[in-house]
Amino acid sequence: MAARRSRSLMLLVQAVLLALCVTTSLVLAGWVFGYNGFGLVSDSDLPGQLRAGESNAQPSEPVLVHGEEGVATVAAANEVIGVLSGRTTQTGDGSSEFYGNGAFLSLLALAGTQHAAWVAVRALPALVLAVIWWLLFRGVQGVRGRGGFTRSVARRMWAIGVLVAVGLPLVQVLRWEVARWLVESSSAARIATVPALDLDLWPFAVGLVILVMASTWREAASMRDDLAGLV
Amino acid sequence: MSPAEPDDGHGIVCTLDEVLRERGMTLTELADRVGVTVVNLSVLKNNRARAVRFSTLTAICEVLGCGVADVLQLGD
Repeated sequence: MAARRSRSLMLLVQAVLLALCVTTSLVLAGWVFGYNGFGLVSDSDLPGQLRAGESNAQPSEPVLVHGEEGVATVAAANEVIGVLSGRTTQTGDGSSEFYGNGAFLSLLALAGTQHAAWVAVRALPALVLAVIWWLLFRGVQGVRGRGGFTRSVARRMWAIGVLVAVGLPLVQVLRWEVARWLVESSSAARIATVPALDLDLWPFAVGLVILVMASTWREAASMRDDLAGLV
Repeated sequence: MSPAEPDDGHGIVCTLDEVLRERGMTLTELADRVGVTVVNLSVLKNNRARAVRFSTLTAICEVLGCGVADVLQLGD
C-alpha cells in the first residue's frame, strides 16, 4: 500500500516536472521569438503571460548616470517628492528621499549582433532552468524504472550541480559583459556606465551542495552494484 | 557477455553446475536446502556473482559434500 502510494507520488512529481519543463520552454520560445526577442511572432498572437510588458518593450539596461546629469536626475526626483510630501505630510510620505544616480537606458537602435546578444543573455537563465527541469524529470523517471541509487541518476545530479554552480554565475557574468558592451557602444557612453558586477554567490553554494550529493549518490550506486552481485 | 565468462575482471569460475550434475541435484533443491533463493544461486552458477558470503559457501559445500575448490576455481 505504502509502495503504491510512493509510486503514485513519484508519478505526480514526474508529471509536474514535465509540465514545468514544457512551460519554461514555451515562455523561453515566446520571449526569444516574440516582441522583445527577434519579433518573429506578433505580440497579439501570444498568450497574455508571454506578451511584452510596456517597461520591457525595448531593450534596456540599468546604468549609472555620471556628472551633473546624474546629480540633476536625483535632485529633480527629490524636488518632485519634496513638493508632493509637502501636500501629503500627514501620511508620513515626507520622510522619503531619492539617492544615487541610477537610471534605465533604452537601447533604441541596436545592431543585429547586439540585439541577438541582448536576447541571448536574457534567454539563458530560462534555458538553464528548462534543462534542469528536464534532467530532474529524467532522474525521477529513472528512479521509477530502475530504482534510486543508479549511476545515471548520479550523472544527472552531477549535471544539475554543474549547471547551478557554474552555469548560473556564468550567465550573470555574461549578462553584465553584454550590458557593458551595449552601453559603451551607445550614444550614452559619454555620461553612463553599467553598475559594477554584483555576483550572486548563492547559486554557486547551492550547486556545490548538489555536487557533493551527486558524489555521495555515485558512491551509493557503486555500493548498490556491489550488493547486487553478492550471493 | 556469455553466462560462462567471469565478470568484473576477476578469474573465479563457478563449477556448481558440474557438481550438481554429479550429485543429481537440481538448483531449486540446492536452494531449498541451503536457504538461498534460486535467483541468487543462478547468479552464482552463471558467474555473474561478484562476491559470495562465507556462510553461503559453507552451506553449499556442506549440502553438496564437497570442498570450496570443487565449486569455485581460478580460471585462465
